[in-house]
Amino acid sequence: MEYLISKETSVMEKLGILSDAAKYDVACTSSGVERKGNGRDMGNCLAGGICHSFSADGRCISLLKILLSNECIYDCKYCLNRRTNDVPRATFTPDEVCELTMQFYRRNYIEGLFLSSGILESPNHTMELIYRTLFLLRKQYRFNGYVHVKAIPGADPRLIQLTGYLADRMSVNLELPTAEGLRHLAPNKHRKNILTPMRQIQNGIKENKDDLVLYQNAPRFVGGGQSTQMIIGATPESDYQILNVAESLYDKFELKRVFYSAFVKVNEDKELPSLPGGPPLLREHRLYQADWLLRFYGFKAGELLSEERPFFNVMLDPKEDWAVRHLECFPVEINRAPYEMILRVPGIGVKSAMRIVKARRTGNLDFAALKKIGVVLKRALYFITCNGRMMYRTKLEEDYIVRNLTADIRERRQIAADGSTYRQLSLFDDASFHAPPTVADGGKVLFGQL
Amino acid sequence: MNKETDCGQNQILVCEDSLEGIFTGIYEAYALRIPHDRIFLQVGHEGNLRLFAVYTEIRPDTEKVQKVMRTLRSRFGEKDYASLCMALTTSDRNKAQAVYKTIVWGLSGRYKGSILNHLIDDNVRRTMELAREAGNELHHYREFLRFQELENGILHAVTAPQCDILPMLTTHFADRLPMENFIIYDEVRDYYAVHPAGREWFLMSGSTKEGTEVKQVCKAESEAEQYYQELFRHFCHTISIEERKNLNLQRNMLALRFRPNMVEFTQK
Repeated sequence: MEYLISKETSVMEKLGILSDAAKYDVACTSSGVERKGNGRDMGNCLAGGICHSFSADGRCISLLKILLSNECIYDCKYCLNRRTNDVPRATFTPDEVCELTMQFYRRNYIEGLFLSSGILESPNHTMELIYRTLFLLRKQYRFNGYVHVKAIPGADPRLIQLTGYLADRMSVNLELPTAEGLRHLAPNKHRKNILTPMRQIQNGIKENKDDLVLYQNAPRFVGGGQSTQMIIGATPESDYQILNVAESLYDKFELKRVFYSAFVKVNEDKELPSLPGGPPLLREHRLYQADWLLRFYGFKAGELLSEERPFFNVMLDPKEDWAVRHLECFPVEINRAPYEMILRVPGIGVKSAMRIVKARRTGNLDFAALKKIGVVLKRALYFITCNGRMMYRTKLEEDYIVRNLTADIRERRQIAADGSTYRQLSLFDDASFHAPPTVADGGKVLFGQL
Repeated sequence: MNKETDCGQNQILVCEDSLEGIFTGIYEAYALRIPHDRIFLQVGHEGNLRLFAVYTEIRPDTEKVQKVMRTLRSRFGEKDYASLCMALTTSDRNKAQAVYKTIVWGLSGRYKGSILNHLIDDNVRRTMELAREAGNELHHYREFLRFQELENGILHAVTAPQCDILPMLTTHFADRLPMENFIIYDEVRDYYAVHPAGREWFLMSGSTKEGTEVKQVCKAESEAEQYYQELFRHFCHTISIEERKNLNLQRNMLALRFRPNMVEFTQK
């Protein structure tokens, strides 16, 4: 069974264990709150957030992302900290967390604290510990920077409410996209328990907004909004199902962000899929692309995927995929089309679209001008006209456009596993010779018939 | 004046490479009262001189700077004014000319909203690009600057920015750490920003007597410093997921030029 680390474990070891245990949590953003310093306490917040470093996997390090404890009474099959795993266990004291946060923050290593935890004894006990830590950090250490905490499903609503007044962002992990998947892999967690605190935080934020209108100095409740995350690829849901879940979370629960986490296999369990190719990173990438389309580009989940086509195209991004299936909407005239339609052109993002709309007020745009103001035409050129002309003589045909959009991907396609794109031809390993000789072939050779 | 001599009299105003220098240049350009397409602003002297041009050296003048600042603020608004100032912090050779022409275009008043939206004009676009460049650099230093604690509890950071963004950077940290004594040093331009706890911060040249004293102070680290550096290195190491390792992405997000002054990339 698990072994407990003695009380004298150094902070260094604890930090190692508890950051290692927290690394699969995705939400390391420090955005959503603009708060000036108060001239006395340490810390302020920028609405855009600040990343302070980037780890070797290319993900940003914005917050001190740690668990309060990796001891857990639950036995979720995908989780490194499940009860039945034999891993070193450790628990921070509230003072240690506060001291680390303050010292890292004043050296500008981090933007704030991300505090999550395994379930110690009971959800209530865990939530209380988190609240106590936060209270100490805000009131005694007088930390004014960013704090993101997890709301523990099943904890007393009052505890969650109190914690919300100290945190900038709260999140409840959805863990898996469907209730069925959750039942299968996380037998101690229930969909209802997860959605209850989510709804509570949503209502809390709404009420707090009304309070703020009345009383300017009312304490803010979860000012940065709430987020959630789900694991992709541990259960057999389709992209369509996942995207629909995300869309309803944005619409019905008013979440700020939904994070997707490609499943990394850390436990051996017969219920878990084997992933010989590593974590499904491309799938995660496509889901994030689609997520942005939902939030900033005015797309609906039903436009991107459907029951008949439940998975994203591997070769084309979701926007290209939508565009080549809706060629009747194109070409778009840059000088006249509404902003919403320019946003739907592959290769043109929010920034470029805004610049186009602003720049065309003072003059007529042609392709040279588009290039100058920084619009990338590589993909857009098949879908737009300037003053009624296309950039080159291109055809508005699905096959033609797909061929051109994927041309450079095909050129870069790897043949061998070591990354080389060509191989030496040999007489003996031609692909068409792989059928083994039959007994009859042997006979033919013997009798000279071949 | 007949037309031929008119063509010959291009005016080139040579300004000092600072906000004050260039703003004084812009004031003088208007004071010349000749068409703006015959006036060129340049920062410092170039190797090649132009033919048929009159070179004039411009000395920074506080009163003229104030006038220009007031006009720009009231005509363009705080946001655009800040962008113009940001563009002037870059090390680009033609920044003065681009900003000057942008201002000329802006004061002609043929637009609505922000001047920097008129991206079809080359000078306006260039100004926008320069402002963006400086803004990005400023943001990167907000992210990647690292303080070290000195023996006497003062925080000390070394930067080597391409644009002259130290004042803006210090504003950010003064708001964030109001009760800390901290010093930020710009290696490239050799000057300090000094923030005494609870008071206004100020700039100080590294070549003055006080500057050399500060240099001496900034050598000895406190005892706890190495411990926290090691903790953070350990944290950065354990937080990354081996199965997702992607050094190219890391380099995209965090360029190598920032790393010499960052604790997690330097082994002591």
